[in-house]
Amino acid sequence: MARVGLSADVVHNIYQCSDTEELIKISQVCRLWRSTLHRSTEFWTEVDLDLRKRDPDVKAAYWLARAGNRLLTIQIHSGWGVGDAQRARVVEACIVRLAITLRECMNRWESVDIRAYSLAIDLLLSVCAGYALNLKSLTIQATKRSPGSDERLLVPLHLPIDHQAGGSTLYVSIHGYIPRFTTFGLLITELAVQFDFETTLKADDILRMLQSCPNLVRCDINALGSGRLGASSLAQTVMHRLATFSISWVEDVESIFNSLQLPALQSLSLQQVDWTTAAMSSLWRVLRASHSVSYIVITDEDPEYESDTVPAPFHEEMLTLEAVTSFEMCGNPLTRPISRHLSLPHIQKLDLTDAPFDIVHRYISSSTGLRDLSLHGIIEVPLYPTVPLPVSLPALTSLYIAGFPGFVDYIHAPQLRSLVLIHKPTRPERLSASLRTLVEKSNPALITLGLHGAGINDEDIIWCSERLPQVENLDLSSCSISDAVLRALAAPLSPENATPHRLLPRLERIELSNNKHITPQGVIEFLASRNASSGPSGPRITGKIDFFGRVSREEAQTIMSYSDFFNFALITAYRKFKAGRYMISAI
Amino acid sequence: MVNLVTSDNESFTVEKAVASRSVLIKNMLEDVGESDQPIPLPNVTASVLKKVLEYCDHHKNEPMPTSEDLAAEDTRKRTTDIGEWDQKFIQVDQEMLFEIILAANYLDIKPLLDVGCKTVANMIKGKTPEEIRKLFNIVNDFTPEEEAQIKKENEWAEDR
Repeated sequence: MARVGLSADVVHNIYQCSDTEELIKISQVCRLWRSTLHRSTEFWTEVDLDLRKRDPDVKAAYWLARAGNRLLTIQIHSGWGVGDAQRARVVEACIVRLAITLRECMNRWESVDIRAYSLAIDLLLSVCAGYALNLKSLTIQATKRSPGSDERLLVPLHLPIDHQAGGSTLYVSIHGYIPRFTTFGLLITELAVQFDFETTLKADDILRMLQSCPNLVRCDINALGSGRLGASSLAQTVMHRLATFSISWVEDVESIFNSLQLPALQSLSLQQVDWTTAAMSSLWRVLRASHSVSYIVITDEDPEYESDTVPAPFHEEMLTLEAVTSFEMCGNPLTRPISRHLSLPHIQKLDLTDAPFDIVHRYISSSTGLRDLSLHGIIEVPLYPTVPLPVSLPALTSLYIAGFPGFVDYIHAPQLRSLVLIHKPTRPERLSASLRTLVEKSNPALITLGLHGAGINDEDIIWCSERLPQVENLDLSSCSISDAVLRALAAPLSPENATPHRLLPRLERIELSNNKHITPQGVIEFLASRNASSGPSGPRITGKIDFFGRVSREEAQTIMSYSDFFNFALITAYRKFKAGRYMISAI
Repeated sequence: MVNLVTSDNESFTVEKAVASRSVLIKNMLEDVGESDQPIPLPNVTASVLKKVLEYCDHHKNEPMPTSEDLAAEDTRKRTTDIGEWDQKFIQVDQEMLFEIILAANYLDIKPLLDVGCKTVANMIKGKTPEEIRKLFNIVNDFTPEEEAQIKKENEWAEDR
């Protein structure tokens, strides 16, 4: 082959397209390739240091010497091996040398991510103390705690006395430690703390941590593995800027809430919290004082868990939250007093799992601004309800109901654009009737229609298609429909018809999974008709299909020629089949 | 239409939209305004230009990368993913591959340069320096002393 000389520009471009691990190897090809790499500081800004590999300290020095004055992204990891602690002692000197090298460039740290055994972390942080004023992200995760190592971690980063706080953001994530911060805490705007190991975490630890980060805007605390936090001995802590607060796996959340003031709170997420009387009272205290809360999520164990548990006594009054626009609750009976005693007059997005019928009805009755309603199971449905008047929801555009589609009988939603109804086998007859009731009474211009349930048959779909001409996305998974629906949707335009009419003329996507009466031939005729009539520039029908029966190679090929309709498993089977290695199996 | 003349004196008449995929030609057209004058391309042969124009024609309706896109690309690593059509297009012998890369660099067609360089990067993956030299017919111009020094410097890169 004739030699073709590549300019440094082109070689530079090849480097940009190469993996970091390849760089060193490529640089050994020739002088041009080596000098191009070594002159380009941008290739040396991401330093990946594996403590299990040879001389990470030398690698760090090599990298940093070539990075110029650029800001650095440093990753240090040691894996999750059981023998890591012993290894740490063997390579202790190497880790100390690495720490000294990294300390020299702390002013250029932009992102530092350390995921290592605690002994390595302790060694690194004992050396890397000082200023890191360009830091935007710091992650420290103990993958294994050495026996006797301190569960409290003092992050040894500081601020100069004359430092002027700017508007920059700093994200800090600590896993496996109870962190403490010095003046560096003033810079932290986002903090995520997770206690992966059993700790002696106390409420005062959390409150002191928050006090050391007074400029926090967002905070996530996961106390999994901790026991009771106990009452705080500290005075009230005011977090003036904290807008997004998330707490999970806390046994006694009142220990934190009763000592916190969150005047700027906008979003509150509480997961796996023990909802005792004291915990609920402390939540009421926070919500009463935080007038800007607009988003609340409360989730607990699987709703089936503790289904017969009696909730704790609740002594608070009904609380009206004027600013809340989004509320999500998924919980066991222990959380029910909370939803029962909240009023959300301006709710726009409501997502409830296994909520009692009367609570759901009250929420939707009290808000005319509701836009998005998702109900994953409704319980305590009265057997013989006193038929209430349908609730008018003039702003509702998205409705998802699983488990009790009959709830749509109580809803009038003329602006609805997306409707998904999923039946429970115990009440199959309601799905069809409820669907027709909604379409007839509300006459919505639906764009998305999803129906999952054996109670839906050919007649229902054709009936809906005649009344919902705007539908673009149709999901009929797990229904009882046949090719008759596809024939109705495929019916070609009549040439003599002056005002041509076709069912669902805007249809772009269809899902037909798990319909045992749909055949490949029916799908092929449907796709051929719809795609031919829309013309070369018209919308192509896409979607997802599987078949209960056997699909021939030709049929699969024809269907795939229209779009990738099959799921990954079938495509794999099809490709193997195409390669002559396997026979296709029905999916 | 635009008339392009290659180094081996062959003329190609192409749509302006096709020729303008090259930032070099686009700038020349803007500088000279409406003109029937042929544009000489002294660094590109006919066989290579034919291939380059095939690429430009296929991509003529795509938006040109903006200066912001290019600046952002310069500061980050690129993936080695190549589109299906581009993959087929770049299945050429190595000499032609390098000629296309050089032409794309000269004509300033960044997306084509990327396709070429990604292809080279994919060919390099998993190969030793010696294998890379052999593959691309590159002369090892390091002295034995330099090689020994490099090997020593990069000892940390070898797996334990």
